[in-house]
Amino acid sequence: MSDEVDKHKPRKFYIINNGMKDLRGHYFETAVSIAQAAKDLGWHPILCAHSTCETGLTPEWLEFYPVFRTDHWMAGPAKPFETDEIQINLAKYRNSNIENLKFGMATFDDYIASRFFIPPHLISTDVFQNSVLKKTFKRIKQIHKEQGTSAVFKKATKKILKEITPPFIIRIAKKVVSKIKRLWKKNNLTINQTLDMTTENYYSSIFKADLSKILAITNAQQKDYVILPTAHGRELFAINELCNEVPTLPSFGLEFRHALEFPLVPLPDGQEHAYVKHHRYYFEETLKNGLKSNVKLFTDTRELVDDYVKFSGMPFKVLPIPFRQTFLENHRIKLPKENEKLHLIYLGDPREEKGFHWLPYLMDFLADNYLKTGRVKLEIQASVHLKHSEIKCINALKILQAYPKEWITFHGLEGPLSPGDYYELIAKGHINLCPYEKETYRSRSSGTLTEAIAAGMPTIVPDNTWLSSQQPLETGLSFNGLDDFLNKTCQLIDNYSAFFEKAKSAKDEWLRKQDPKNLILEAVKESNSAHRAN
Amino acid sequence: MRILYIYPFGPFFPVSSGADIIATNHLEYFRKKGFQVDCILFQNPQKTKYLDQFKAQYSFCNSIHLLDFPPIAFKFGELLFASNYLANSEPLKTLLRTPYDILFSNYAFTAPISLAAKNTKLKVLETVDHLWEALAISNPGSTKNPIDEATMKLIEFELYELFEKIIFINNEEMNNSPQNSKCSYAFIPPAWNLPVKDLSLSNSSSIDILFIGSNHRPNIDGLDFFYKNVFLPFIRPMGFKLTVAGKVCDYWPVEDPRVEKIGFYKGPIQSLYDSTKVVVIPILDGSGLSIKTLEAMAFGKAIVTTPKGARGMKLENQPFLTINLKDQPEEFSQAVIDLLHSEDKRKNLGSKALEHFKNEHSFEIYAQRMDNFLGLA
Repeated sequence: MSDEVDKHKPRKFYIINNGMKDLRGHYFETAVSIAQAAKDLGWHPILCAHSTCETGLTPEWLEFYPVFRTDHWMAGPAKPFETDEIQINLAKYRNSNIENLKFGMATFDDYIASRFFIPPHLISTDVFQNSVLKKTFKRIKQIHKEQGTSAVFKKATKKILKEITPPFIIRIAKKVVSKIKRLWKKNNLTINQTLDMTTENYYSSIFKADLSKILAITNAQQKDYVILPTAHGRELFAINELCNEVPTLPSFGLEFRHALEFPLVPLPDGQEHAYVKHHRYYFEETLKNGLKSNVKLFTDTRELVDDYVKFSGMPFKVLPIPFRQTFLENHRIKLPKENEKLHLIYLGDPREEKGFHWLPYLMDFLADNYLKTGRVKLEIQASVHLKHSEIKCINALKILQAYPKEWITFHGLEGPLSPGDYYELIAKGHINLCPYEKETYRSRSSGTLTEAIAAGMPTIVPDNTWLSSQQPLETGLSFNGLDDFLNKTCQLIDNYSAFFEKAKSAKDEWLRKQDPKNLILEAVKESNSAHRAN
Repeated sequence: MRILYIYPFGPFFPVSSGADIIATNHLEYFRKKGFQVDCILFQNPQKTKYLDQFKAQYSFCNSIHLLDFPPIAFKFGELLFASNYLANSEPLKTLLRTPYDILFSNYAFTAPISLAAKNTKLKVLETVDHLWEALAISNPGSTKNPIDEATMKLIEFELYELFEKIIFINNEEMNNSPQNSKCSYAFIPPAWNLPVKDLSLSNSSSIDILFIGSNHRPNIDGLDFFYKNVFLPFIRPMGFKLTVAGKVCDYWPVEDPRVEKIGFYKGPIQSLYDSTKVVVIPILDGSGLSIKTLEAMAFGKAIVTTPKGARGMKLENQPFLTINLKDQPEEFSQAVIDLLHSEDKRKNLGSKALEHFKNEHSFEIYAQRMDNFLGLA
């Protein structure tokens, strides 16, 4: 497809979430809400997810590619690197187009090399070509050409030897090293804890290759926009590098939504959590080359902006929290009639940091005056995974399942809820419980709170957190600790109608504020101002 | 007129795939036109042993070359790599010094040879299949992945630009390809060019239902779907039998006393069709044009197939029954049962198939279309 043809097409808006492995849940909801808003604003949305993500369930109007082999979090490649035949090197790809081939400005070797992974056994067909001497000479020549004479001496010993050493010797060497390491550990000797980014950088390079591929096949232009609603430092590094290599890439917006604090998992003094350690490295590496002007950084809370700016030394801005507002518009929450039970809902992943394990305490506390009397009922999202969930949450679910069925209903026991079921659960709720861990949510946003406020539902949130700062005035209560959470829940139930009225009137303002269209306009505005400055 | 003809899957004798049949069309056309042909075949270990028979069959060719290259899998990049390797090999370089009137090549991955043929006046590509679709469904264990398909599609369409005239065997695929003003495009469905003797439409048929297929994955999947969702619940209880021929038998693990697996059929294929009441082509995937359907039409058989089995064909005259097998397995079975019960219906449908075949897929029609497109009328 030529650039000429593409000139008249709408600008493309890429939503990249390489952690999205199924078409449900928060990632999917966020992605579709942004895509819908982009479409409404006249862009052509393209959604790109993890390569294992199912296909065929996205809306028809949404172009969808499950392309990424690493996810945004900590997981490794979904399949071995070698099996992926088509790997586009974006810079070389553009230089070896068909016109250049025709006019002898590129060869078919260039063409193939920039588009495919060719197994080494095919390339090494000739004995001389395959010889160690020839390979070494070729590599030296290449390093000399690309990085100068001094690099040849620096890298020669280490890299070339590595490249020319037969794989079986490398395998044996690795085994020997790991054996020594094991023996070392066994003898209680300390291992030097230096930062080894080999694996992380490998993931980063895979991300870069996959990004190149998707930008090439969709013919991404400078006028287009790419957003990563949940980004990681290794992706920032890859994108910044790619922008250095290819000058005509679209604008990028990367949103960092994870906190830099991990109060639930304390480490010994002087040690840092991997997320922090890796991000320090990637932010520093990015700054070394300079953050490209077409790459902008965001978070979704003011608190996180402050943290990230201080931590990275780079500029961050706040974006609204997107969700599918149309679903909520169809589910208007009503005040329960006198003979109806008040539904207390728990939404989201059953996790310790979200206080799922506090729910049995709440049941006991409410039992006599509220549950037995039929005044309230709990409706909880309980997608607890018997192997992967935290032990406290698994136990909490077992306890909760022992209460009478009239007191509590479980949703999503068989797995994550579909979008329809999720919004139906919100529609059933009268009070949204957010028994979240205070320190963890000091700066982090909460999608469930966002949705609850948008639905016009009173809420209970931890105080001195992002949640309490966002809770509209008199639409709910905030708590400090477990006892307070239990008491405040009763207080909210007892005075429900007053809170309900306030929550109902706060809803529209909130919907306007968190409109996904605002997210797009904000993000694009940032990149436009950068273009103007250039 | 000097032609350099390129076929990348070894000698196409005996004919064992749709691509082979299309290639026989080409050489037959060149033979009838009296052209001088240099024929390049890529190494194919399964077919190499037939080289002498192939040479005897196409002795009119000026020369026939079987070119060797490193062992490859059935992947786009590797096939392209192999073509590039051959384009730079001495035997081909020598041949390409000859000023040919036409370079006629099969499959887009042979583009490196087209680029290397600087002395050639006209470069023609027979696309055969959309590779991005065909390779995705042909590789064992591969799954259809939109990102791989989209990437291969992009690359395949790029490669078209290295030819001047491009032939499609499927009209829909031609319309879905980007039209470049520098190339011209034509839909030329293949002809059935193997000998057909007196057709038998008698009632003495010993085979109730016939399916012939290679070990191509859509054949295995389609047959399995048909067996489980149509034959087993609806047709088998009525006492009818299913006969399966071709390499698909080796890859389909069903053992059923009411299913006869005859494997690769060594006799004349016509005798198999002559003994058959109904031909089913229950495939759910595929690219290009279903040669199986074409073959059954050439033998005047009553055919029940799917939209994929009917791909690339004109359907106005309803030369066969097309039913969406996946959504309507019961309707599919009812159509087969109706035909099994009525010789008249079989004869009627078979005659329509034959009529349609003669009008659309006879060799004369094919040659006429080629003449017009290549400007050789």
